[in-house]
Amino acid sequence: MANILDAIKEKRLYFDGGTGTVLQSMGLPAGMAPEKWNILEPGKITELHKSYIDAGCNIIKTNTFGINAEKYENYEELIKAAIDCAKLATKGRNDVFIAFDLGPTGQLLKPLGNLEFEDAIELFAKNIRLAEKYGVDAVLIETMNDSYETKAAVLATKENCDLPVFVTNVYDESGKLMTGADAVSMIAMLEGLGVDALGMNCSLGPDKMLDILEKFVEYSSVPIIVNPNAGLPAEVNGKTVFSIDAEEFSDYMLKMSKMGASLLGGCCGTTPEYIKKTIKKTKNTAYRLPDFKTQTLVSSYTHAVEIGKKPVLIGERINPTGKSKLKAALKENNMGYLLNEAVSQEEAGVQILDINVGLPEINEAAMLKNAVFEIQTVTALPLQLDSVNPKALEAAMRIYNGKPLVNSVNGEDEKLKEILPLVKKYGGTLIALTIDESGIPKTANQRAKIVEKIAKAAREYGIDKKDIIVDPLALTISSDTENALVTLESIKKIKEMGFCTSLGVSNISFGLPGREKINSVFFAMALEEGLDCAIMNPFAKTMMDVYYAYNVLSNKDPACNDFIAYANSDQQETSVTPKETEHSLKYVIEKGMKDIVVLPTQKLLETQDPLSVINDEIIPALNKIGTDFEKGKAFLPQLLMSAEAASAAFEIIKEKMPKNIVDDKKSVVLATVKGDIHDIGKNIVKVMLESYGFTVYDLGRDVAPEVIVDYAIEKNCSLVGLSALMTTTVPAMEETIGLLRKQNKDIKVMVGGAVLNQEYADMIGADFYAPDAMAAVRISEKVYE
Amino acid sequence: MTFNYGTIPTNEILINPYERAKRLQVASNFNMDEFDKCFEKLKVVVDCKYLGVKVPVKRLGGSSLDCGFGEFESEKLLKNLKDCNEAFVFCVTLGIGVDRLLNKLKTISPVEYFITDSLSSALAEGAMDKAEKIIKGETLTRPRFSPGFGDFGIELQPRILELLNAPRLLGMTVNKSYLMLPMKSVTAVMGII
Repeated sequence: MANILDAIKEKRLYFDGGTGTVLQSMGLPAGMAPEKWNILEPGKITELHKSYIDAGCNIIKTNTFGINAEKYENYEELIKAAIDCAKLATKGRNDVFIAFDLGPTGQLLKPLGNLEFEDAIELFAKNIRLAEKYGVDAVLIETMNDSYETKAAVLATKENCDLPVFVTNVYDESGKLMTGADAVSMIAMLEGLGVDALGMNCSLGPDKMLDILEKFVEYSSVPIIVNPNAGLPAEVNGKTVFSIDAEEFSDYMLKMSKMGASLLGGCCGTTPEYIKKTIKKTKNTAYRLPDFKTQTLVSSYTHAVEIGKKPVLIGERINPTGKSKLKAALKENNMGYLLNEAVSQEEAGVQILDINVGLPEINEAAMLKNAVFEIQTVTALPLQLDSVNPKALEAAMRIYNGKPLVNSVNGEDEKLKEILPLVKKYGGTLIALTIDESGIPKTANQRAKIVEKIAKAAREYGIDKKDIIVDPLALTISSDTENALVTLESIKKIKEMGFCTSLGVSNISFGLPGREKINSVFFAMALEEGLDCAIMNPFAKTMMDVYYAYNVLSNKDPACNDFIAYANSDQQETSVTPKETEHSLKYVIEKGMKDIVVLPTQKLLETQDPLSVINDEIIPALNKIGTDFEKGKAFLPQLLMSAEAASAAFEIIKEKMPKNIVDDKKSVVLATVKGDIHDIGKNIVKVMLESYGFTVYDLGRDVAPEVIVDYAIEKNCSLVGLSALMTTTVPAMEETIGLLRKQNKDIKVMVGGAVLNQEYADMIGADFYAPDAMAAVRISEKVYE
Repeated sequence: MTFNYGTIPTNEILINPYERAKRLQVASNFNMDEFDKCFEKLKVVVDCKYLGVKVPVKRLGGSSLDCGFGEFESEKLLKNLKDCNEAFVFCVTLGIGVDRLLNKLKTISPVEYFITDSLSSALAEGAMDKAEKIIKGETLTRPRFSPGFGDFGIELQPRILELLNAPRLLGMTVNKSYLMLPMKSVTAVMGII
């Protein structure tokens, strides 16, 4: 039996077409899942396959699209039956291949849904192990509309068999998957994961796929699959017909074959007739596999950043070196601090974010994995995973949604052995440092030799130079004034060798005063030599000035648009109205003016001690707005804005307070109970309590009773707040209260949520019922009196 | 079965001011600059799609009925569908971009999160109004009735989405708590008079 990958190299292969449409014409009842016929009507499934083989197709898909272990207890029986039907249809035909059809789980993965990434991998893996066991020629992962689920499916396949892997995703008319990924980001991720062919299926007819195909042709180095629908369904004379008939369909497929699509087939609405006409029209079209592409790409779950076209900024602020606040946040597992750093750097204009959480006191692998996951919920920027710990890199690369920038590898043999296999398995663009066992070489030529060594080793793993970005290292001129020139010469040389470059620009001035003056000029010089990526602080104004000015001067900013926008926003930020500086802190908090809380707070701290500011300014302001809220004169959004302003003031005041005075004894544990994922009310209560100076331990949502109880006891809290929005989850509240009473009768419980009232609260044994956020604050104050 | 589906441009969705005020928990004539700022950010990420089918209504005795997604019991829906032999079953979603925005705001700004969540819920209802008009055209209908109203259980959401082929056509799913994803999605049954 020929190998399918060899066959693809020789000639164009054709997938079959729609399954549901054809089976319904054969009597499949409306509403019945097609996979059930694998056991109920195997003869018809075989007949379906034969009809497509007779039409001329070379690859038939097993009738397994909708099967998984969560949907069907007898999933093994269904899968085996599906493969048996396919084998029966292909008996005697060594020119027809069987692709195992792996469809979506039907669930969204976290953070958007509830399915854990590893659980999704295992769910797919169960199917793949059976596909391997019962024997197919390839795996087709299809109709995936989420990049993360696609990655889970590819990893499951790669980790459980050696079969060729094909992937087709569902794109909408805007050229994106439902969860936002465009074609270039999918190509970047999937090629990094090592798939053998990729493309699109379903949702669109061939007419709407043409534009998207252009992107595949421009960026894909592996064969391109196109399996469109037969257009859109419509009702004509009481019957359902698809808007594109077989003739028109095949005309479009001819166009696509000439554009560069490699494998052709159909999806919903297509029949053997569509495939037959397509084959007839395209069989004589010249067949060429895609050329190897040389673009250097990193991607997130929405888009890719191409390195080498225009300089790229990598935000460096999530790195604990020299940053006490970040170190503290990491030790306290305060993810909120990191997330705010991520968002603010994105708003400052970087295109990639560096994530480094290396601290000796913490579990770096767990922290980097968690940080990457959480940061990807607040920003769609591609990330640079930055660690010297291969285990940390591996943990983060595995769960990263996209193709990451991996910082880093160097010329040391051990490092190459540790890092290159990770990039091979998970994909990634690698930062290669010009260091080896002898240290950092003094000359550009010596650094270039290390680059050659790294590139050679990478090639042995199948990693091309396009996936290597070289960092020639900027050593400080305070130790040797030649250092800047050596780095600049190295950048030039590395560019001539055909690699992209990256640099931690500000390292050049370490140990000197007036660092920004040196950094900004060095940055301009490096850009002129061809620097592609700068790891830098986007809040360093002179560096940003250089970045935007350089781009416009080197004709990389069409119509000067970016520069104009930057210059205009720069002007707005530097103008502070006198009025804004005149308001008292009390006024600013009452009015919820979080953005101008800094000046009045600092002014007060010049003449008053921190506790006085809290007791005489902040708390009275909150009480004023709180009382207005209780009387119906102010509304919830205003209350929240005041609470945010108060919390911002607290952050400034805390820095001035001696540690032993910061009162962390007033603490509350909050949780949405097991089975309930609503948390907006709980989050509002959290904001209010924090603004009043309480320490809040927010356990999140869908929290098991024992977790809440154990945490409250561990943290020595006197008060637990439970939230539930659904009547079905109130029993979980009761269970939690019951468990708490058994273990510690002194801990008080307040409950809240749309389904609750005083009566319910009494019934389930709660101490307090909080109908709104202010009530929760009053209750908490009472408990801690 | 014919699926009627398409996109609703955001600027064609009208938000009912009372619905908006209810969600924001403010008086109906109350407004703040922040509401407009949050709405501007929300609009950018909305990708509103609708999907509907026409089904026969089968009364199976007692309070049991079948509206194309299998037998279930609901006295309230049965009453709502009085004298209706057919119904539209339809849904809208504002898309996953809204979920992403809300996830982000939850972390960085509870105020913006609350305002945006409220506005997007009101927008989803406005989208249902628009989808209803598109799907029914000139046909006279009963008021639409959604899972969660009365005894029309939310546990029926998976079956409704399967009937609509919503997972495949719109990427909509239902989690184990029967909450739809993307979060700002609504389904309904609307009896044809």
